[in-house]
Amino acid sequence: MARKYLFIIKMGIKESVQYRMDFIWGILGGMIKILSLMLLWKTLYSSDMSNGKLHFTYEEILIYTILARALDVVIKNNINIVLPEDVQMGKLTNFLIKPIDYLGFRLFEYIGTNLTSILLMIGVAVFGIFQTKIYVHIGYILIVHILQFLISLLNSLLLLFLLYSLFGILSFWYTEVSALNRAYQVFLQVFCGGYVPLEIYGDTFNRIIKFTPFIYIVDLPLRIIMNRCSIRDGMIGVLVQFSWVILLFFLVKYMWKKGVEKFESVGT
Amino acid sequence: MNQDIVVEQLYKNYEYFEGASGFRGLARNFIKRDIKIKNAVKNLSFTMNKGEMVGFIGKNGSGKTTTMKMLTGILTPTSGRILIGGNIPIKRSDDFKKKIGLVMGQKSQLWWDLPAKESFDLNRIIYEINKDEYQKNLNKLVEILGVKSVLNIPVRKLSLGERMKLELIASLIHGPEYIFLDEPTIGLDVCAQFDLREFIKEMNKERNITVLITSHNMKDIEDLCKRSIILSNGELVFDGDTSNILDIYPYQQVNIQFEEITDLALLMCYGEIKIKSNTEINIKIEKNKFSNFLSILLNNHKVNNFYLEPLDIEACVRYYYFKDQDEHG
Repeated sequence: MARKYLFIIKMGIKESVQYRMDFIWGILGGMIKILSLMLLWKTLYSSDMSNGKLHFTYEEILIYTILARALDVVIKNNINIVLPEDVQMGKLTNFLIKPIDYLGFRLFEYIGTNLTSILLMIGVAVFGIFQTKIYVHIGYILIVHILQFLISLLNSLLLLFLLYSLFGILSFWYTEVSALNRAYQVFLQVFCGGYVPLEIYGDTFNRIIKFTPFIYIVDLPLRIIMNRCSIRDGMIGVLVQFSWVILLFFLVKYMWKKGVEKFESVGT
Repeated sequence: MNQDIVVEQLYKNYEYFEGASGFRGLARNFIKRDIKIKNAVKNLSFTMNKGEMVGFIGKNGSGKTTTMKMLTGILTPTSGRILIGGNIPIKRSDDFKKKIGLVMGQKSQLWWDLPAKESFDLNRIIYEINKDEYQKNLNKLVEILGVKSVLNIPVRKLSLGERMKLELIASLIHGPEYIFLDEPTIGLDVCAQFDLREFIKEMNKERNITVLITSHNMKDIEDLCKRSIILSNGELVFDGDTSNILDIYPYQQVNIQFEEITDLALLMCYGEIKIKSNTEINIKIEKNKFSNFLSILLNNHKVNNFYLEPLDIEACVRYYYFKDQDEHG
């Protein structure tokens, strides 16, 4: 079983080598996003506008920005785009006749094709943080934090994959989902804390968002690694996050079953 | 009897929207869509024995591919029962999936940017084939289809024919017991078509695999399948020996060479005449008027030579389609 998926990752890596330029442009695009956010924060903090409103120092918000973007590269996936395509073009047919799980296949393929970016991004984040000694601003990080962070990172990767899968599965019922898709992607990015800390949106928003899985995608792992929550809160967070993973896993499984029944295997 | 594939009262209905044209129609569709139902397959029943090769014939949209997709567990039937070697396809058990191979001329499973060999290796892992068996299968398929030289070239750089052959290998590498071939010879040159047919025959003989094949290339069917099933508008209209399809066809083509230039007036009422040269004609006669025609011909004309043209199965099937269309108005 594990062998199958390892092999798929390997194929993904081989395939990604074919598109070296994609990789370089991807990295460049990511850098520009980070730089522009950093410049924005610099301006905001120098003009004293954020005083009292945010509980982040300037250094902390920089760390947040770098980590959030790095996290985005590590956990993101494209099942929300690939699945509707496979349904519409009938390519899913090839998978349904094979003894393999479609969603698992696509997840590991994506990890494979993006492994180079993922490793590079982790490298850049670690290097950036140590080089600038920015970490002194977030206090001591314990091994427990790192462990909690790694578990929450894995959970958030699964969580995002399941949320995107749910969206992709909609294409069994609605053939034209690409416009909605873009909106959904932006919605997730913004409400996970992918660009700016969720604190910015105010108390009411934060009271509501707590009850959704979104808060566990970027916000939780970053709170843990940036030492912004107690070990106990981190533990509870990871458990709730995992519960969401389980819940969504079964929901995706159920919806997938219903969706495949609707599948019309067009294109031939 | 060893009935290996059982299909009973199979139905498949599709829902679809009929899009009205123009801006008004668009607006109307946006608010309310007229749902229509298309009966793609209607009350289809047949059985197949282990090791049998059956041809699935029918014009475009007659329900062949839909049926095949239901047999392989891709589509859920609206109603009816399918059993393949004791498995219910729609349950999609891994055990069942390992037993079947589906070749669709219009579908690609190869990784576009990688050499085909990589996709085959992936299939080896997915289907859990042991290495020796895999290598043996692969060598054989590669040799028969003559694709050794392109195995290590990225798929996107290959010609359509080469790709088709590699697709075939990918679909058959796990040595399935049941093979479903949907237009397998699309894009293949005549030599490759021949090789493929020989290969299927050999596999059928060697491993007693069961084969269901659809093709618009009647040569495929004639060459491979003793038995054929004709579908029309989703219904079974013929199930029997492929050679019997010829019997349905009510005409016979006769080629006649006269000794001298001849007046054809007497023959004209028997059928459509094509003049090939001054002394040679071809005539299409209804089979039941044949003996009558023969006596007129031999009594009134000086005939040098004549022969019956072998019946063309394609013409017979075409006739079948049209006959059916006429009946359905």
